[in-house]
Amino acid sequence: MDEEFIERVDMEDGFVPFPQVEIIVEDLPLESKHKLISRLWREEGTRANTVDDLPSQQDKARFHELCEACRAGDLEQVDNMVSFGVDVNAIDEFDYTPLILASLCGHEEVVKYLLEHGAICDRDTFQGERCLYGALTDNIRSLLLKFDISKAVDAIQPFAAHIASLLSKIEPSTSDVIFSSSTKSPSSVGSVPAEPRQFHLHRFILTARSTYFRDNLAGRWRSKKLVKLSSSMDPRAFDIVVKYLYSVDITIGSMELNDRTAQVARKLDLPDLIATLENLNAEESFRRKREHRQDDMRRAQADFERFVQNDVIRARTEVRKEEFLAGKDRFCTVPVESTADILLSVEDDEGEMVVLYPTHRAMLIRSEYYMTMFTSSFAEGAYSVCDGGEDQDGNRRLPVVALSASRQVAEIVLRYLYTDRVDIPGAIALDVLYCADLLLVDKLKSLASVALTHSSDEDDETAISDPTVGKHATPLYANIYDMLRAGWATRMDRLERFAAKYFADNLAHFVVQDDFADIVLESAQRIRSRDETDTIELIDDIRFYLAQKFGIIFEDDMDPVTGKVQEGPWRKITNYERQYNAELDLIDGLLERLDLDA
Amino acid sequence: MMSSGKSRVKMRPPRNRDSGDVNFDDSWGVLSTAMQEMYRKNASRLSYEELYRTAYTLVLKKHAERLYNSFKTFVAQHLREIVGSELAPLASNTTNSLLTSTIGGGGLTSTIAVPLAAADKREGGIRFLKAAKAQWDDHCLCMRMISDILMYMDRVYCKELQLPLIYDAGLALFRDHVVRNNEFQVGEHIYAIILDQIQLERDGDIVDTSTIKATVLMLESLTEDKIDGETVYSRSFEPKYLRSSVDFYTAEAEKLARECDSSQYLIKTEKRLQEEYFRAMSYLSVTSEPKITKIVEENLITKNIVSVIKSDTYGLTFMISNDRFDDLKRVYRLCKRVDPEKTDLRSAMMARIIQQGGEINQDALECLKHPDKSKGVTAQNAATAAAFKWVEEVLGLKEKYDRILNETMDGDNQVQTSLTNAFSSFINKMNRCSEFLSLFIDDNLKKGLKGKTEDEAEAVLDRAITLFRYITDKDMFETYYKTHLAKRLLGGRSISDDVERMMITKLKMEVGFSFTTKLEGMFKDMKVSNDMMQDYKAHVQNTDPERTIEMSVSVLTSTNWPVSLSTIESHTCVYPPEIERIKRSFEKFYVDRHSGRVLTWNPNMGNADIRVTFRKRKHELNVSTYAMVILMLFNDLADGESLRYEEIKAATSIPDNELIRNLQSLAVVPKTRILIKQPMSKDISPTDRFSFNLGFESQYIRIKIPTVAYINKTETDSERKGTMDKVDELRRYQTDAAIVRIMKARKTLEHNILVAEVTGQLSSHFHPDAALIKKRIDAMLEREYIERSAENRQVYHYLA
Repeated sequence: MDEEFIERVDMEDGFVPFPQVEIIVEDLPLESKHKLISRLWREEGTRANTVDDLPSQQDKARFHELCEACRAGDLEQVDNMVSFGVDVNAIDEFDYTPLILASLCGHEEVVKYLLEHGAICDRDTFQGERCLYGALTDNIRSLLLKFDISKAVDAIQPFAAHIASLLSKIEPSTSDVIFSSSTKSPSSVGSVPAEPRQFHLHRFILTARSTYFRDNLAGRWRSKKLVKLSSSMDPRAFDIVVKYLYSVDITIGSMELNDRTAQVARKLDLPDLIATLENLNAEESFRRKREHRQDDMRRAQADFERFVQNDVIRARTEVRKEEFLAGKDRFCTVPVESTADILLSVEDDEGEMVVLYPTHRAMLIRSEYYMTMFTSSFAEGAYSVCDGGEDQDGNRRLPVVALSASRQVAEIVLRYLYTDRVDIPGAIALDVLYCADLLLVDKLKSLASVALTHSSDEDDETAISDPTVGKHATPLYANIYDMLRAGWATRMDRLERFAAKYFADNLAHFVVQDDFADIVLESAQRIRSRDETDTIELIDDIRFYLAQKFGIIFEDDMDPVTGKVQEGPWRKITNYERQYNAELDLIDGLLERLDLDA
Repeated sequence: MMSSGKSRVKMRPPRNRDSGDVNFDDSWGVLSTAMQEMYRKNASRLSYEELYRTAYTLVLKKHAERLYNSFKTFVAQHLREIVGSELAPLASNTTNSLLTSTIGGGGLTSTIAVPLAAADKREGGIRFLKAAKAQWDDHCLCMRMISDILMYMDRVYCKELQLPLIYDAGLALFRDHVVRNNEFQVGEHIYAIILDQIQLERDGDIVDTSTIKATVLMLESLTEDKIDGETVYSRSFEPKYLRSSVDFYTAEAEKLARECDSSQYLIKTEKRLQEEYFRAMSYLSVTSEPKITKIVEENLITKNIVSVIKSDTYGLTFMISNDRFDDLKRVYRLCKRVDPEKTDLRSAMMARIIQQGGEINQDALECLKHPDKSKGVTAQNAATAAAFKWVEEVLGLKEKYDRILNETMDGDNQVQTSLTNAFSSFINKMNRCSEFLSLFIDDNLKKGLKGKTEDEAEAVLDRAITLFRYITDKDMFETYYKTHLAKRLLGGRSISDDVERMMITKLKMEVGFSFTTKLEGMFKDMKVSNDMMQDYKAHVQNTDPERTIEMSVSVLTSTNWPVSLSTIESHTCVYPPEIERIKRSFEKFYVDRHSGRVLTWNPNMGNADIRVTFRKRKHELNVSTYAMVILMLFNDLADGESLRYEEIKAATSIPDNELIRNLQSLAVVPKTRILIKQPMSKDISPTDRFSFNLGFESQYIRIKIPTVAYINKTETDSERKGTMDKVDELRRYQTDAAIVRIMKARKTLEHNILVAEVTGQLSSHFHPDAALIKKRIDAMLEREYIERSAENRQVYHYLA
């Protein structure tokens, strides 16, 4: 410890190890190690998740994969894992964060990616300082130093932003309950009387976020459109509560309002809000505030996960298909206490039953397809604004919109729309991909294709290796041709690359298949319809992966026309290179048979 | 389909896609029926989910191209039907006659020729616009809905192939099959109706602008394929609109020129400009505004503004003379629109100024030639009066134009330059401008500013400086000013030293230090003399306490003062012995102090206080030095004796002209007749006899006897010639000096450049003509300051 301390002092005395960031080094003198260590102890209580804290076994496995990818510099794999929602700021059992690993191993692209996706490198923390200290190159170091954390994309951000936007969204109108503050403002010491206000809110959000509201909305406010707040309620405090429930980033101007809000929070039984209010008051670093904010957002996400599970998916009802079709209009009933404003219908696998999910337009409109549907002047747009009324038993009648997908797929879609987080079983990933494509939900599409191409789980029996291809071939969730066609149809490059690699890995097996010849022809036609260049994308990709497979990296060694490795007077061809050339010959043979020129 | 790998059978094929191909015609049937329903406004009965999914499946199954084309065919067909059923019938019985009258008649005669029945047709026109607009709105709405249904095709197919999106394609179809329908030209009808409405509004009617605006918006929404930023409005309508506007304003220009006077013309032109501006902004397109404005400007302003300005009755001259500031403002605004240089306005103003200036010059000269005899002023007083009149009138003119410039033309710089040029031009045409100005200042400094505050004095001087700026021959002015200043200083006539200095400071600020050094030197001389006289008085008291005659001498540095003061020959004088003795004593006193200096006496500039005993009483007379010398002669005479002119001349050797002047003031002017002349006549002749007028009476004890020459004056002709000669000589020296200065710095220079540089250097003093410079260059060659280059005769070398 002492040695390192002395070394650092020397650095301060003029030895500048990183000339490119000289100025920054001067501005922020390096701290001695013992100070850092002591800070580590201080931080111990508030440190980020360790791998053991991660909720599921799967999360742990994925986190380890992420760490491995960060060591190896595999950006694609890093992207996959981050897409799954792995916590990029967690630490492994050796106190490494993915960012430290990538920084230490010198993968600049990965470091940049991690930073942009919410990885934190804060000089004031032990982990942050370690990350900087371990940076392999000056470029990485300056990248770490200059990165503005406020620009980082937070994985939860899109979800929270959507919930927050519902507070102000006018078109389409999705609010189903109005809270109105009393005109008589509460007598408050030294504060200006608050203006009476109306809050246009959503029953389901209040229900999801708070037991108090859940109980009351199902109870005394059950059929009310307008709820009057008691005159002792300060509308500004209520406003903050609403903002908290809608996961809006809260700032409070005065201590008095803070206290008042805390009172309301106690009354409405919102312990987390009380904690948040206390954190708001505390003098804390930007990083800590950000962490609190993330915690808040995660809590909201968890609330919605519970909600979609219990109040949407489990609240589904089933009707016999004939019965459903017999109804003249497209309305079905839900219990009166349901918060839903629309029903989503899918047919079950046998085609005999229709499954109805009580859902909320406010969440469905995260898909542009539903956004358009509800704002257009077609039937769905028209009747989604009218009240279906009640049937003779007092149940609410809601309009139904159909989704042509299987039950499992529909549930995946719903989970995603309500929470942004979803695990897609590989077996239905292809279906999810098509469904997401239909619904124009790009993020879900990429999640589906990641799930489809990521089949390393040995236990998963839905993934099947093709024994004719070879024992060691990667197990697949779907027919490889279907996957490639799906990649083309839904414009997912990841699938195209995956298929090309798969073909390259098992070329000898595929090159004799008629199906393979068909798909090569199809690829050739796709290009032709676009422009006149006579390359075939699939063949180019396969060649690329062949080169990768055999470790051919020097273009200088290749014949510019055939792409093969050439034997020269001063160069012996290796065994791998011979195999590579042989596989290229296979492709050329196929192209000749198909009368294609590539 | 799967030829190998039995195990793959296990894999569940994707559920939605195993149904194989879809039947395009069935799906399209569903979609086209739905589109028809949309046009019938029954969209709310259609299921978005079903339609979107149908379209989605078609695209996924690679039928996008067919779908896209079917959509286009369907919409085109529908639009053509609508034109046939909805628009054509409306148009055929409302706009035919209108079309022929507006399009055929060039858009001009239509309004005059339209009879009462046509008013109905106009109504019909508006109805037609409304109908077209309604179809357009429906169409847009349907396109919006169809593009909602075909959203997936927009994303996947249109974007990738860079085809127009469904909505845009729908608009293009409207353009091609409605507006430019080859059977029934809806567009042409619309254009004709709008043009007719514009014509109506130009004639003063009120039109339905909101309908027109809506139609124009429609035309602007229809873009042209492959031409960026071009729309049906800009390609089809606007050219017609501009063409008809050109026709209208060509006629309008002729009409206004025929019917209106200048003032009316200007008002109407501005009104038209404003109307067209508001029309373009309110219901046509912003992009048309500059174009239509240009048309109005070209026809109403460019073509006619010269004749408006030059109009004899109400043109620019009339406006200026009658302070028609509003009209002037309009002229300025309009000129500025069409010509940033404002050439016409400026040349007209210059011409007018030069004309008025010429008149002022003429008046002043007339005044000089024919002074107003009735008031009994002398020729010289008349000259002063003329100078005053000239200066005041020029300044008056200048102030008037300054006001016009500032109040009607925003102090425009270019106009100001023109004004300056015009003033400079006529002022310098007046060859006595320098003299007049100097006289004006002289008179003010002697009398005019008496009792005025400093600010008032400064204002007067500023006006003088204003005029001074225009004068090119500043050296000429300097000469006059010096003479006048010398006389003021020596005669003690100046009302205030402060004001004098103020004037010199102002001159210094205008033309620089060198110009005023000599003037300041004159002041310095006066001060030094005063100090010296103190010393001298002390000296006299020590050496000659008995002396009864006091003497005050101003010692002047000859180079600082006007040359005429220091020429010895012309100012001879034999002093009476007692005076002579004091004079010598002073000379000795002075030379002792400043050895090597030569004193030359200038009695013509001096004066003397003498006490004379008349029969009744003693009087103190203030007379010129010469007069004192003359009067002293009579001291030795007995009563009744007289001296002849010749005798006086012999005794005093005063030059003839001075002697005559002094004798005139002593013997001719009635109030100060100290001497009696025989015979009694106004003129002095060598044979006249003079005797002392013992019986002189006056109510004042102190009497100032002014010498005729000391009354304020302009120059006599001979004096003028002398001044001119002096100035010319000075100019020669200055030119020589400039040539040497430049050559010394540059060593070698071409003739033309040298001339240019010399001109540049001298221009702050006077405007040298090329002939003078050439002559001086020759002189310098002769005197071997410079030589011609051996290779090139046009090049000079400096000789050290």
